[in-house]
Amino acid sequence: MELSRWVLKAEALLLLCALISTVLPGRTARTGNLLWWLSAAAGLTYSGLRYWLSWPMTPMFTGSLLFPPLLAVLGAISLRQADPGCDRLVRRWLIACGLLVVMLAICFPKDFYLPIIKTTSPFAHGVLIFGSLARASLFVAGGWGLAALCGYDGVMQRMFRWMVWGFGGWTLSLFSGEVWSYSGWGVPMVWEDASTLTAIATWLFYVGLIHLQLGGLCSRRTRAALGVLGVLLIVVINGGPDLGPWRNPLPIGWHA
Amino acid sequence: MAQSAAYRVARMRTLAIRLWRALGSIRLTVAVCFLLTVDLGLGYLSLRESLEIFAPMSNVGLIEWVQTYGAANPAHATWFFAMLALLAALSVNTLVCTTERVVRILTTRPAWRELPFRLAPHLMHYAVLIILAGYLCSYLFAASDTGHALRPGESLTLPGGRAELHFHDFSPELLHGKRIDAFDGYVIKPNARMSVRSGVNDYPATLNFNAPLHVDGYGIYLSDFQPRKPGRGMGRNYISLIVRRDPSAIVYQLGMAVFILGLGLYVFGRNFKR
Repeated sequence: MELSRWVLKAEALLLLCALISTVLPGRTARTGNLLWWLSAAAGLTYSGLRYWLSWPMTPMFTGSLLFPPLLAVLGAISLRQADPGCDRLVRRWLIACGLLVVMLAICFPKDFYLPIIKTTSPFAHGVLIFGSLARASLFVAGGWGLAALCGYDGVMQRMFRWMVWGFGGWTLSLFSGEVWSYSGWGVPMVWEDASTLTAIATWLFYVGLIHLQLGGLCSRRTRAALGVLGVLLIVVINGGPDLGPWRNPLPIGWHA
Repeated sequence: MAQSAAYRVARMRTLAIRLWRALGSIRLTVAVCFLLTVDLGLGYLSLRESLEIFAPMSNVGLIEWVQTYGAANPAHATWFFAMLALLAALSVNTLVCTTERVVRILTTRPAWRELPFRLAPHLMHYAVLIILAGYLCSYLFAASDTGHALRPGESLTLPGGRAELHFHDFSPELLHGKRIDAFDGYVIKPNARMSVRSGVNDYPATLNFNAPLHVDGYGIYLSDFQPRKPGRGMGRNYISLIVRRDPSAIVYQLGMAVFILGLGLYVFGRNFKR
């Protein structure tokens, strides 16, 4: 457990260095890229450790922690053949988002909760895995939305595609939760877990946004801004339930 | 006179068409979805503070819940009633919008090979309606009975008296290793050994978390058991059961399958790839 916390801190540090290297002048892009991949490796190690500790149960309150390393993977896929300026912007956004999420998890940890036996269901794992893939895809979509807001052309289609992938993943996550709820309790929805509501809220937000995009109902700028807002929504309403009380992340004392 | 009647009919028809189009408007879809997002966000805050108000809904059903918990706690339940109204609006909107578009597609007589891909988004829309209808039926018509505890050697007769469950004992699988100290030696899979008598059939069965038994139209769910660690539990050996009859579960599960089919056709179809 302690080791996984240190790995998480290493991931945050690598992301911070990667972010700094993207804003430094000169040819630091390669270094930044390498640091980002290293942070992803640290993130995957953290996820692996958490899974190893709790297997065959699902690690608790890690929904916001398993996806930052996926941002590097999906980001690399998404940034192929992108305009260099746009590439830098989206890359910076993805690294910054990953850093924000990891820092929140370090400062407000809740992943120390013991897992529960009912989470041995493959559908409980499905909720977490599909949810992580969905969040990563929607963050990538948010990056393209930001690029559209900054005036880059031809990026709305990319935003839409990633949004649809994210929406698909989110749907599979919700359905996995539903099947788990049915097989575990016999009910369509377990009301004891309030975060189910925020998951449905986000799903509906993206249903609205996809319809806005398909119907071309408002300006390109508004749609792009909503794509970015979706990320904020995920961080606040879906990430919020995964956060615990404040803990000083530094090894030195900190007294108010 | 006849002309005036014809005028009135024509006017009614125009109004009906306008109303139909307004109900199926994509702007309404977007507005309702965003309103639901806000409503469910507020619902989260309310639910976190008042879990005990909403938790019994699955057992008592929607009508009884509205008359008791809902009526007694209007401040906490307002978001829930708003959600029901918004979901009703979304359902009507989805039905009208999708039906209109499906009819339009079918009247253009597209190639058979193209048809599934063109209908993919509408499959998802109909699937949402099936899921919502299934959920509504589940909360209206499902019968749930909690709190049945059986000690080894005890039996439970299911409602109607046609089936009986008998609990023998556990054949537990333990979690070994020091990965999580608190769980070392704990039961990870209780394997409650049962026998089921349904009509003239008598057969053995094993009950676990997430692995219910289905007997005579009833789902038997394991909600708790003791001991969690062999030798512990102060000699209390029992399983706690939820007995639930929910014929509409198949409806929303069918809806989910249809949604996944539609999503797959849409994402892997030519229009999305292009």
